[in-house]
Amino acid sequence: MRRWRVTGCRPDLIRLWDDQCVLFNLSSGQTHQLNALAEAALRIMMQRPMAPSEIAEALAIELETEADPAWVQQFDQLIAEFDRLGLIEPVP
Amino acid sequence: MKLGELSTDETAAQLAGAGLALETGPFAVNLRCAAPGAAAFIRLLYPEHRVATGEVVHTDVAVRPHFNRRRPWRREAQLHIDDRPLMQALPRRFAAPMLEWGLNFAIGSRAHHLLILHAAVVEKNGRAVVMAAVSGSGKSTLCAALVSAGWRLFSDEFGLIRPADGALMPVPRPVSLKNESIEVVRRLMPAAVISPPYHDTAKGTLAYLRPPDDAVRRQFEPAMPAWIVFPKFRAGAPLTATPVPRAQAFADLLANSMNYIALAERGFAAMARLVESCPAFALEYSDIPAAIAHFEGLAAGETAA
Repeated sequence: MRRWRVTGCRPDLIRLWDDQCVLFNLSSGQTHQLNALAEAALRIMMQRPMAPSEIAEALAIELETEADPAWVQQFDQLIAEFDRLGLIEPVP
Repeated sequence: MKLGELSTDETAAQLAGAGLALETGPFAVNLRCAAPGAAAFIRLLYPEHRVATGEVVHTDVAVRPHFNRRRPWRREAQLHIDDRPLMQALPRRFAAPMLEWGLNFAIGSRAHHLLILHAAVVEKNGRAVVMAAVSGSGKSTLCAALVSAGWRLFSDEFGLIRPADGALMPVPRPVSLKNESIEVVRRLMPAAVISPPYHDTAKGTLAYLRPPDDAVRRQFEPAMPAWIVFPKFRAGAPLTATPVPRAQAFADLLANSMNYIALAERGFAAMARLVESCPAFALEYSDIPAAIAHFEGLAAGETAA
């Protein structure tokens, strides 16, 4: 199971206003807008390196939702997007 | 010494020689231009500005004659910033306003100790309005209108934010009026000093409104931002003020920032502080008195942003 860690952001470089998040990407110097779920995933990954399935499970508990396959799959996509933006890197 | 204390001849001699160092807000800029009319232009628009003592000059802005090899009959001038040519040569009749364009470039491209927004800023009772918009949105006209109603001019072009505390720094310089807005402002401010018009520039006809003396005297007095406005003039439109959510305001300000990327984390922190400390709204208007009344209501605490 491949785990990922956040290397391109810190908690103080994230702002969540209503349901929209703005963050500064240290890796690229870019600023991104994320939705609240993506922000929650990134924050939880800042605590420790995680695999997409672990993020899905943790957030399902936090948000009191069912971790069905569609739910889990969206975190695979999210991790791919974070990777593309340079926000995370795989843990060796 | 104030620039207005120099005679036209003395001003012209300095501009044609080593330069005239002008203090404008947090900047000291050395101006050089030997073209006829440049001294009168500078004296008309900057009489209250202090001549810098010369210890620290941030940038050199020079307008020099330019020889066009392919069209040698043309009388052209070339803008130089710190001795490097900038933009294409233009007809020499634009030499005086080219000093203004050079000042704008110098501030916008050099002042990376501040977060720079393309915005007009005015202040009343210690609270400042940041009006961010692209050229052609009516930003300078609205800015001049508010100045006519007693708001203190910070700038019609630059929102300068000090990252350390989020304060806005004034840089009160002539307000750039374009096309129809020249007459609009003349009617609003019959006693105002406005430069001769410069026709056929890239933006049409331009003229410059002299900043009020009080704004210049208080040019080292910052203020905290209280409102963010995204103004848009639309002929015939009733005045509407629509709240802008913070994330959207951040994105819109980002689009109007000149050096956000250069400031990196400091830019993010300064921008986030700005949107967290102020309500933001999109203002569409056509009637200047109605727009002024809206801002007066904000200042008086009667109008919800």
